[in-house]
Amino acid sequence: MSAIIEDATGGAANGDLYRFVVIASPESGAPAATIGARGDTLLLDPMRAPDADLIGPFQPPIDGPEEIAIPRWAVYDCAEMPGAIIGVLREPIESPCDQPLDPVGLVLATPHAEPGDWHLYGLTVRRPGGPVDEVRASVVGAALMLLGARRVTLTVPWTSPLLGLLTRVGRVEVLAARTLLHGPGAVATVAVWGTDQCNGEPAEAAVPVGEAGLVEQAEAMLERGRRLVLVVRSDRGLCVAEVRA
Amino acid sequence: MSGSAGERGASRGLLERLEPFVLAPRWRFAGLDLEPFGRGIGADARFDILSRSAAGIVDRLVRLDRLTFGATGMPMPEWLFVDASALPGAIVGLGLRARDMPPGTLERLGYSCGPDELAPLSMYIAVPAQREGVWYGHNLASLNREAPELSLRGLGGVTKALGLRVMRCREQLGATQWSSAAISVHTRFGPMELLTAWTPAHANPATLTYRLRITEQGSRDVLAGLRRPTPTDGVFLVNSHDRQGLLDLEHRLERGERLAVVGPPEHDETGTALVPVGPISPARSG
Repeated sequence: MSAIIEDATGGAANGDLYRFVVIASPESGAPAATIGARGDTLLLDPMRAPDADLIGPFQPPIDGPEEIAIPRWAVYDCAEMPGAIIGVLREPIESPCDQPLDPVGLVLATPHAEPGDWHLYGLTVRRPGGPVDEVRASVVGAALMLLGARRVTLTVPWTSPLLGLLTRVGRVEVLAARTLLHGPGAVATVAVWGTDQCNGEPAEAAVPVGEAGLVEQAEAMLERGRRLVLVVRSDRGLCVAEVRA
Repeated sequence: MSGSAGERGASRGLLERLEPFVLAPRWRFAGLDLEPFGRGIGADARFDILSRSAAGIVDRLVRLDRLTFGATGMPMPEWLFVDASALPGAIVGLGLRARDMPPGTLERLGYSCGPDELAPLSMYIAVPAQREGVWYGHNLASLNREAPELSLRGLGGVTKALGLRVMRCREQLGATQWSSAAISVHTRFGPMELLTAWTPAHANPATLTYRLRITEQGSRDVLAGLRRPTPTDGVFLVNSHDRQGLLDLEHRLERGERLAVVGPPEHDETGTALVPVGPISPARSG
């Protein structure tokens, strides 16, 4: 387990206790065999009533600003049935029968049509007790691990500290500089790659995130078919660099 | 096979008269069927959801969703058109170039587009499951009622058949309410095997989850406006408003019984949908 997940959940994995919850139907083909074999992960089936009673805490908000609210039917139709909901528990527990399930964070996951790729959204943090973006990054890392994903994609505002934290989870590639129907402000679509699976090295020249005109410049490069990644440079912080073929 | 002569003619003509389009990330196009039923999807009708060039069609698809579902209170939040639709999956539909629309229709629909741009008249949205060939459909919208001057009868079924073919889908999962008129469309493809009959995890527990086997013959029957006769062996009617009845049916499924919705709903004198359900048989499983 990566250090960022250990930091957020407080300690090393213990196979006797549940640390993660995955909600996925048997129809989804989510790696149930792998997840089920993990002693630290509780697998719940949204199609069955007894499990449905337990999944309440793992729902993103249905009310509130349009950019975060997700209707209940969309959670079932777009995540629970074809994909999964990944939850990280605040404290490890022995059994859901003895203690209520209390996630510190959760995320919805839908598979891409390409095997091994997943899209994450509805990233929700509950009562973090610490830096919210650290928890968000740890949930993304947990999803990457539990799904056995080649890469996960998600949308992140350029101004969010989460962008930089994701570079600690894996190589981060920028797929879109401005994502349609997302806002306010420019929101990037990025891919976080599993270990060593994003080919190519970043160029030495890099533009700091936040520099005026970066979003437009990145958008123009991506439209021309260039590949861009996020890198952390000691002298300039989080930057965007082109990937050399 | 049934289907009025008018219905058959109307459905068959839609794929010829309207233009298909697809919205997905650019890297997905190579894996899709871009010649569905011999009807090619032109390069200018393939839209990359991650490109700004797709902004116009995306706005019009949001408008299409509002026109279709706004009155039911179930429109989809805009950003889900990306995150839970076109980015992991695909949006496939049929439309007309603005210049080919009847005068006044574009304005009445609230579409803003140049003469060469595509005005969508229907869409089918699905996301993949991890198993190859399995997709989960969650949105089927058509302007059949909103644009009667365009004679779009049968467009829902044709659009779904088109979408599933583009996605190379062999098994389609989905959920719908027992009272939904959409069951009439879905059963055109074949029996809807029940995975749940009462679904507490859904917004409306009176929801069924189903599996459809997608076959070449089934899809072509839909395009032709044909419908298989509803079987009668072992078939019983499920009252869409009977909570206990739906719970009992769910318990039968959980005990391992295999059942399917086998035809379009009937309606009683109060207008309540009565849905025909029967046992799955090898012949019926498609």
